[in-house]
Amino acid sequence: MKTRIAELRKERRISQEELALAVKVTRQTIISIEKEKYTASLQLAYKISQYFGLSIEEVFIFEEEE
Amino acid sequence: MEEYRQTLITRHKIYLLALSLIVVFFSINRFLDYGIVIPNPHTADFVHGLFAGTAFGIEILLVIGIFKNVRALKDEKRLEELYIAENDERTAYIKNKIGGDFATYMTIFQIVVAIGLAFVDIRFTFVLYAVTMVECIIRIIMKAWYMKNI
Repeated sequence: MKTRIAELRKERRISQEELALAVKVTRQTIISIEKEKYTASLQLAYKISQYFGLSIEEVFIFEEEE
Repeated sequence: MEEYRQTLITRHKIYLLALSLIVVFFSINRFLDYGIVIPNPHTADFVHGLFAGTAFGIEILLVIGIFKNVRALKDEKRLEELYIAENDERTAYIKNKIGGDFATYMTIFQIVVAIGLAFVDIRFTFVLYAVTMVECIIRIIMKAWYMKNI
């Protein structure tokens, strides 16, 4: 699943560490989500979206597998 | 976070109790006659060494755990970091991938059974112990792989 987390972070000058602390996960989890190696759970996706003040669809881009 | 602090205090007490018991066991291990039928005299040293080695390994893990708990209990920031590290969803996902809690309980069960089997036939202990160690090594390798690739 593609995400706009890295882009949104850079726009708002937020570090991975700050975001991780705010949504209560490790920095490594944020790195993995940004690199699309790990798909966040619905709960985490919601927390991250809330942190940015956006909806889940605006932060996470769902692509249906072929 | 207060609830987690209480959990940590309880865990700390359990670790200290386990550590004390292991230290006692470690001190008297040499003098114990387990009543185990040992095929040859050279194996006796090996049996004591094996039990002492296992106890020592568990002891090291407990000391690391105690050290982590004490640091977290003294510092609010470290407490939060430890809480996050323990409840991180990616870490939980990887843990599940390598067998989860069931695999950990199985390892403990196998070690207990392996020790118990020494009173039946020491060869059973060696075989089960070796199998358990191989399982642990495989889990460590799998964890390292998942940590790198997920």
